[in-house]
Amino acid sequence: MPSRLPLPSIDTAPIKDVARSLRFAVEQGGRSLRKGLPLEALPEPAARLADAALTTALRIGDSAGRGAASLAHVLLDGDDTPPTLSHPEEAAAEARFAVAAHDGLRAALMRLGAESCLVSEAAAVAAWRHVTRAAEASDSETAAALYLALTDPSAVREVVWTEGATPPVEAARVATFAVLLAMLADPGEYQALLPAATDLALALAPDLMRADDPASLKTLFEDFRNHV
Amino acid sequence: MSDAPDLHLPATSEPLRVAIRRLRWYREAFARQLEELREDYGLSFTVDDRRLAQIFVDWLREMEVQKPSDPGQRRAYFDFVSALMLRDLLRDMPLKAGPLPQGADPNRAEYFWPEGFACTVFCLNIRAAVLEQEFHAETSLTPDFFNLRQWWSFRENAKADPNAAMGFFDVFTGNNPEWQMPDSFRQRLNRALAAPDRRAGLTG
Repeated sequence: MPSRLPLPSIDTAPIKDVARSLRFAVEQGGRSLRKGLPLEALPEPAARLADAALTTALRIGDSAGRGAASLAHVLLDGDDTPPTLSHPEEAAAEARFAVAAHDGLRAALMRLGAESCLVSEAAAVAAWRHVTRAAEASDSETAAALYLALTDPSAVREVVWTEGATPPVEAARVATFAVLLAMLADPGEYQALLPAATDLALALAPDLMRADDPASLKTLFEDFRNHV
Repeated sequence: MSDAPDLHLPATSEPLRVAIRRLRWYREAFARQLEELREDYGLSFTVDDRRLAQIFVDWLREMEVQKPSDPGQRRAYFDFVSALMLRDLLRDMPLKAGPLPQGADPNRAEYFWPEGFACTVFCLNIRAAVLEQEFHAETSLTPDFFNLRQWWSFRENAKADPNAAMGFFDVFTGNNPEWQMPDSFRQRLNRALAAPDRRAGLTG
């Protein structure tokens, strides 16, 4: 009996992105409906009809949201420890980087005051492939290249800010720097370091806005990787 | 450090002089200091984390710029950067004190200026811990630390010129205060070489 061929590994990032996009759209739709319908100003029976319509829409949204969330949950199991940036050849480095970058960007944006956000894991995969294809580089150089690849085009697709909050200028750049700084500081402590890395990145925002070339970014990473 | 409010520092496997230059540890140590002040004096504070991070970054940069190349100047440099830390904290104050506890005596420094007191004891405690670890040096506070007139003068002068805080820090630790250019390590060294025991007067 012939032995079975090993199954090819599946790139799950685009599927996760679709699930997350769906969930985000549903959540956003619900928010917009709640904010946009002037129920108090409508006369009866229009108010009652609109209220019923909104309730139905939100129920459908909730249901779709739960479906998207459970689909994402099923697909999201995995190691979320990022690889060391000096060893892109580590096992499953690409997938681990993409998951860690996705989760880290979300966490950083939330710390910066976002109410919700949509981040592309597939963009993180693409950035990793693009950067690690190049010649051997130091981990700081890799971080600088990843920063540029993750910010143009931005892996952060949408951000909804908490009402009344003042979003930081170039929040996506700040969050991206924070994620890579935490990875450089200590991949094993990545999650725990993210809040401090985010606050450091925010404090460094003016430097970050000026540093738009690999050499300046590398210097900024090297100057602060040991201070997270 | 004797006489000052305690600070039980967070655990670290690194030398304290390294740990204090990591934002996560710095913040945790600062939070512990505030917690100890709450337990001992009933003081409460809210901390602006973003501002504290900015203060930390500014402090790191200033330290790096003034870092001496001569290893023989390390001890003086640790004194200097501790005072510099206080200068930066007072200048951009990341704390807001809550209501004082019932019966608090406003003639005591901790109730007279809770925010300034908290930042000062934090810097004093960090300095003491680092000096003990690096040089096995015992530190103590001068009577000035317990003198409300000093604290009144400290608050007024630091408000007018944050650099003055560094001079008061020296007064509390028993070092010769540098009032003219307290934020210049080079100036301190030059002055120490020229007149090791000169003690300048206080303002205010």
